[in-house]
Amino acid sequence: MPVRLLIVCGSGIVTSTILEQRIREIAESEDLNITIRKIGISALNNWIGEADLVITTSRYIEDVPNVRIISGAPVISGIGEEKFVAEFVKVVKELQGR
Amino acid sequence: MNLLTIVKYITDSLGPMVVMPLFLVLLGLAFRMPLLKALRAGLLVGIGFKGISLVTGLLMTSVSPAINAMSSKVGVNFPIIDMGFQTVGSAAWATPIAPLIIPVAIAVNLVMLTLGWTKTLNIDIWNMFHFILAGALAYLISGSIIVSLVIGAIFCIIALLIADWDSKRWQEYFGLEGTSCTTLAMMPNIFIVILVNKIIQLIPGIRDLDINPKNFKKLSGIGDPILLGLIIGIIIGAIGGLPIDQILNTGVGISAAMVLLPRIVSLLMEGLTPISKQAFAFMKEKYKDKEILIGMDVALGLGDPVVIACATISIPVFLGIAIILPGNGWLPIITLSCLAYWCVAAAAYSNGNLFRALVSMAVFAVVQCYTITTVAPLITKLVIWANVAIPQGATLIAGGPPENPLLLLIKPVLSLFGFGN
Repeated sequence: MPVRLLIVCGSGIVTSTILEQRIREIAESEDLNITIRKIGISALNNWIGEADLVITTSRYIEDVPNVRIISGAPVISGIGEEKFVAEFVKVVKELQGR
Repeated sequence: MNLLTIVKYITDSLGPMVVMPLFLVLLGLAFRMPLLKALRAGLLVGIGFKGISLVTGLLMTSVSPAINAMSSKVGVNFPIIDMGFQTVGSAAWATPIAPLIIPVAIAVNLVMLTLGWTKTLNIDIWNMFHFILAGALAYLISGSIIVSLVIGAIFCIIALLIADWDSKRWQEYFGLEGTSCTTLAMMPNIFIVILVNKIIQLIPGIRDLDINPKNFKKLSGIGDPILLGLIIGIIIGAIGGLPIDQILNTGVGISAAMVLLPRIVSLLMEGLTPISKQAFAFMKEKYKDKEILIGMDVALGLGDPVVIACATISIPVFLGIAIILPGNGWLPIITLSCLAYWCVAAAAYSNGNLFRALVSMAVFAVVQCYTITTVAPLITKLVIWANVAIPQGATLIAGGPPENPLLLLIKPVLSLFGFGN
């Protein structure tokens, strides 16, 4: 089963596309099995039930049961990107191992 | 041969479908991108741009029965169709002035960084459309390329200076160290929020009010474009007194446009991203020894619960204000799905107080409706210039966030210097 990713920005167009491209690169080089859906934050509540992992372009503060949430802001700014990549790969591998 | 003749020749004979990708391929190559990669990226931008005209047509067909009925039966006129920031932003990128303004904006930023006049390195390439937009409007008013470049550069400088100033609050409130927010369209709202907060602070009782964003968590699903399009269609169809079949068709049509537009503009972004990555990796390397702030898209502030709640409640507030506001010609449609961008400043400068953020958004809605009503004729000219198919029946169009109040200054300032009429 692929890990279902939800990539969230303001409208599912601009910063989420930047994130999506980076994540596809990482998934390819680390051989991760994922599916991606890009949405705007206003739609998050309606899609969150169908995701294993949510990556937001912002720092999402609320806790949601059964869903992991990581901030993808480091990919956009380039500040702390390595740390993000390491965490992302670790979480996806954990989720794949379930 | 002067610059204008060359630009005119390129646009008239080739058109934006070819010019925009060509410019981006050259930009990519200038920053040492491999040719095939640059070509693919450039083409994606052109393809995404071409697709926009398909959706604007669908949107127009869907909303016009309701808008016509509102005008003939209720007497409220909305000649300005809301095509979303996606459409106007892409159109700005497709104007022949874009290939001239982008290098100027990048150069201005680098010079200011080198001289220490700003700390921000703006790497948010998509939102450079705001500088193109300002420059393009200046061109449409003055007919002068030089004036257009100067105005584009001034807007770039304004964005950098406000980004520097705003960076303290931006970093503190959203926890984004080492960055600033360079999205120009969101900046005028900052000053409205500060003013509203100052006034509320003076009123006993009101100043202690707050709303818990958790109360609105269940509602936040209505901001989903799929549902929101349907709901807006039903509301404006019902106000216009359309028969039920037409009301439902309006709703489904708007819903379709709201879902399809982001998908199509995503293609354009897929092309823009690798080019901007290449360009800015190159620049960041140059300034690695300097303390700089990375200029970011306002989307990085969106995860805050107050922002999300504020965006949801602002939907009916914005729509209601637009409908009852005398002299307003703009009916927000696509923009209602991206109010969150404006709520970022509203939340940050209200210190997370949802009540104050909402009051600020209501005041801002009034300012924004009048700004759009004033500037829409020029925006429409620009969109036509960029060759986006203006759907039949549309007299004027606007994008929502792109029409920021600062644009209102261009015309009077230019006429002070004797440009335009």
